[in-house]
Amino acid sequence: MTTLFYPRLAGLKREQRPAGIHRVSVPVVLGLVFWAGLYLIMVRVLNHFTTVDPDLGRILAAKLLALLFLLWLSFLAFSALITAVSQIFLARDLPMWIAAPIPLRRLFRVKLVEVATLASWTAIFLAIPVWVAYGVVFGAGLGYYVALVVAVGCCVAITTSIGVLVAVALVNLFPARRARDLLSLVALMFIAAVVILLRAVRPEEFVRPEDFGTWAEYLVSLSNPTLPWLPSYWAARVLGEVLGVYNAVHWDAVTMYGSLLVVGAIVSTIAAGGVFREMFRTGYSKSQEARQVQWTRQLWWCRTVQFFARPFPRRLRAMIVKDVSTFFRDPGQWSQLFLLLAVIAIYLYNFRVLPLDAAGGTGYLLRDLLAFLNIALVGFVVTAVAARFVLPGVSLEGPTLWLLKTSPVTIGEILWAKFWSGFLPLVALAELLVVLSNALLQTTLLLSVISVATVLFLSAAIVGMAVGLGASHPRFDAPDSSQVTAGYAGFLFMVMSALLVLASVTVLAWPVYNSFRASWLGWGVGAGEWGGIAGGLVAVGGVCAIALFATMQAGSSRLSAREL
Amino acid sequence: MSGIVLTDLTKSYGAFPVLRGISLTVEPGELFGFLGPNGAGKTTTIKIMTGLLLPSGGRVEVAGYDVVEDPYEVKRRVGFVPDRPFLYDKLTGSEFLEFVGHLYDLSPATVRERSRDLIERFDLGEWIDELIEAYSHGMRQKLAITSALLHEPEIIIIDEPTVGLDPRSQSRMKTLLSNLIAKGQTVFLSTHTLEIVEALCTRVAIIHRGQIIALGTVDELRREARREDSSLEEIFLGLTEGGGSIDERSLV
Repeated sequence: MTTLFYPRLAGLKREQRPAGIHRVSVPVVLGLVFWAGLYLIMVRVLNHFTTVDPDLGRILAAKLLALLFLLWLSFLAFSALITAVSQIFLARDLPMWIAAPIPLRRLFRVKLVEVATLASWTAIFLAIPVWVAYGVVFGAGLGYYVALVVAVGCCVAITTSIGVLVAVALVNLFPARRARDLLSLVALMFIAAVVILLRAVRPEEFVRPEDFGTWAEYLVSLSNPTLPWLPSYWAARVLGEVLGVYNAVHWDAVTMYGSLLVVGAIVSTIAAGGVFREMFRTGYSKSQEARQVQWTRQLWWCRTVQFFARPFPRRLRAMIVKDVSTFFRDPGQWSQLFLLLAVIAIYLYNFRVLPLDAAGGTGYLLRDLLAFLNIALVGFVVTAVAARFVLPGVSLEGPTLWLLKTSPVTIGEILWAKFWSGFLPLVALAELLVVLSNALLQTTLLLSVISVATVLFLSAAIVGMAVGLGASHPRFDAPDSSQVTAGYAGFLFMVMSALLVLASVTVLAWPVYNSFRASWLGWGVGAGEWGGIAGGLVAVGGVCAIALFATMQAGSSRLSAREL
Repeated sequence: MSGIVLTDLTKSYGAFPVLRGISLTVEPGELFGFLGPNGAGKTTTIKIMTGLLLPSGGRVEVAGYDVVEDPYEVKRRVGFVPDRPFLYDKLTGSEFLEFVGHLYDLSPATVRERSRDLIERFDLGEWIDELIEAYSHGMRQKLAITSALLHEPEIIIIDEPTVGLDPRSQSRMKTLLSNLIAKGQTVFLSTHTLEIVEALCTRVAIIHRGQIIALGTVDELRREARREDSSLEEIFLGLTEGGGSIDERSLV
């Protein structure tokens, strides 16, 4: 059995060796900062709950624990499903395993452990400060931490088993599709799940006690279990009881929900093993069948892409058309646009339902502040999208880079083609978000102009940094783009991009505040304010230009020097 | 027109020397065979000639231009077919050819006109509008060769041209190579298929452990190796067998 893990463990060991000290220390330091920050916030929130009103505080703490577990479990479930599809049907080492005389039950165990490890480590890493904060605030003993390990282990086992089971079943249910196409379905399912979960939880009720007839009704509503048929509630309930969140420890509840967790883990693992043994071989065979994406080969589509690429010189145009065509013919790539659409819908919906009227006479202050902060939010959205779609561009060229490097094309041209392929759709998305949210907020024309200009600069810089850093630190061995995003380049890009967004907003804050103050006080925006804003925009444009050209140049130099 | 000139070319991966002072000249219009056992340094030499690797020392001139100083001019004049041609799986064959043509500033009409004959020659017509992901290894190889010839390069560098090709395509490949030479193009051919080298190449170099151990026509190699009746295979095996009994230096 250990032999089957050898290639991965040996590879992992070797991967650690050449890493420079900065490659290890930067993520470790930032990880510790994240942990410390989240821990302090959680401790503060929980202390606030318990000191303001001990009874209500305990109910809120229990409710929050259940909600956090629900979010954690949904993240884990989605991650397990995606990982299961990748590891069970798309992994490069599969043909070797399948050709070898390895019993299916052993292959299942290997894949289960692989999926569980890959899918859960991030989720567990993110949640540790939250769990520790609960333990510290409620003075937990060793029993809490033992229960925590068991509960988390059971949740991971349940989600991983169900992820494997669903992945194997789906590949068998959709025989004409390639396994990668499943990801589009998975993305849609995830969106649907998020919407359903959000509706089921009804978070808006927590902040509107006035909607309830009496205080008691509010407390009863809060005390109701959150989706009690999910393992997240079982885990939260067990931990809540052991912590003493419910005043006294109800051992019958601990036994019942603890048993549900353990039995659930065992039953789901057995069920997944059975389904795997019965359906894996046919599913794997079907997953190899080719399927073409027809619509991207139709004339109207080709002409549309050519039309947008027309302003560029021939070589740049060829590379842009190639990048766009390959993107839309890979369902593993474009299906993630569904998630993007969901994010946009939720983003705009939030602006629509903001209770600006409830703020009374100061509603306009809140409106202007939100519209200004919206610039940063849009910057973060662009960062997230660029990290997922633009940053991996050079890495995905991987084995085909020989063709470009032996052609009379400079590395600079390759990178600028990638820049334009990413910039045009992203700036359109960013400007759409900022214009629509400003319209929903009914903000001033001045702020709209500032937002549109800043987002234009930020989008260019963020896309440039994604391309440049992706070229500086390519991962030609990465099996898919998500691993590039999750790697060193992705991490560096996120940090740099976040700093750029924050710096830009900070630079603009003072002149924008001055102009707001002038208009709030009825003075009118004068030449001084206009000058300040123009100066701020020039400064932001300058910083963004430096970020764009410096990272593109660095990427070009490093990729040129890289031997293939 | 100029050919290829390698002068005292060296290349090390870390402390490990892969090429140890290679010097050779390929004349314009020549079909030059480059032989050597696995790990001898053939692919490394080719990668340096095409700009995929930088040399550690020495000088490489291709089509009259230094590959380090003027890589752009070299690339405009060279067509390269690697041993394992990774292509864009999500493009169709015709889209791929159009894409490569555009990289060399060719119009779509020129690409269509120039590729028509090669597509026919390699029986790719039926598949040319299918996605490359559906192609076999041999079909990818044929498409890569077609794309490398689109811009009518002065020099063609081919690493293992017949791997994965069926017998009919291998035969057509030989005819194609002969035609290229007849048109005055220079071909640098790295291969393990000694039969092709013996039949087509004007001159041959054998590389072993990063050094050229034999250089000349096949007949010259026979004479130098004092194996007048031997086949190229026997000469090759004799020279590259651990140490060998032949005085390697005398052949270069």
